[in-house]
Amino acid sequence: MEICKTPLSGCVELLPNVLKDARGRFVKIYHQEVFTSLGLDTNFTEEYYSVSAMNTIRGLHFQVPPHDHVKCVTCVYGKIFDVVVDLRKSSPTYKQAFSITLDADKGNILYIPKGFAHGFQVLSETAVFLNKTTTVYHPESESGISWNSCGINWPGLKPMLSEKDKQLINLDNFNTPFE
Amino acid sequence: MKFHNTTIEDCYLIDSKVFRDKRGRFIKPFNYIEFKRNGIDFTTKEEYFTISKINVLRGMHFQNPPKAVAKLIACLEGEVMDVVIDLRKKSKTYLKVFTTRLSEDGYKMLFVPEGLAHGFVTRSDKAMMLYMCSEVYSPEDDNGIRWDSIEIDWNVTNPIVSQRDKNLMPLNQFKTPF
Repeated sequence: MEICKTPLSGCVELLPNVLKDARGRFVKIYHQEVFTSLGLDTNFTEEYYSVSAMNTIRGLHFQVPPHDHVKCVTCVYGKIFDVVVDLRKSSPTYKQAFSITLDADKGNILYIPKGFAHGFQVLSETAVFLNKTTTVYHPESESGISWNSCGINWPGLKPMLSEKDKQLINLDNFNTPFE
Repeated sequence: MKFHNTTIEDCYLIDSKVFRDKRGRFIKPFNYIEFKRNGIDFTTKEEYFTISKINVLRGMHFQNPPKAVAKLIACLEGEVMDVVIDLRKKSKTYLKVFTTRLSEDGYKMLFVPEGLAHGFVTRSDKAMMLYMCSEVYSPEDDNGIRWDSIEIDWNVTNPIVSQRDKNLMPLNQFKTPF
């Protein structure tokens, strides 16, 4: 597994080996010891996936402390435009966004530390997005900021969002709980 | 999350919650606390996915103790026939086979405890399987039995099988380490 830095400290892209043969493909997206040797968290207690139509945007989401968590996201089918926004007050890149294409053919993974909002838009006909988190879902700690308030250049023309995501607060009006 | 018994001890079919709306679907296959509540202390140390063509057969795999692995298996795309066999000498269901259909629209996962061999055959044009494992891959402990040596009807002619899987030992010559 190869690790590549992003402009946001602590947020890294991981490139797994993709093994191909006559049967198809095999991709190892998580290995505890490898994660530990790379200095990454390994205490993943929840996992979920979503299946979304083209142009769907889900985000920008996070959980507030003390239920905040690390996310490890990947696209196992199709292709997505994946985005994170740094919400850590003391970070030199506070309020900065970073985007990356996650592609099932590459199997690339984005490791997102605590203190980031996360979202994505589907670039393919459908996409299966898979996420692991280091704390379980905690409804009262669930929070988010509006997808179009962070200066992100979304690639899809007609974004499809849930009512809930449409009503999220703007980044500028958001009082971050992350140090 | 609902846990259902299968014909093999400690092996469960699990219904995940599915939320649907115009965007698509949201499915949660793993939550440590819910597993614990159902008597399963499962943590994932390794995770991988496979993409397989129709009639591809992968199996029957396991790892020897002390590196035995419990697996949580889900089909995220397409459809497979999933198969497990109990290799635990002391189990009430020793050598029993359980088969089930796993598919992208079934939202069922299979929890496979340590001491079972696992395999599947793809039924759709393409199938994606996700595996969460309680132990990391250990090449020296990697083991398996030949798919056609267990008594089940795979319902497939000329499956696509890797050379390695073809060379696995048949069940009747196999001495279980469990």
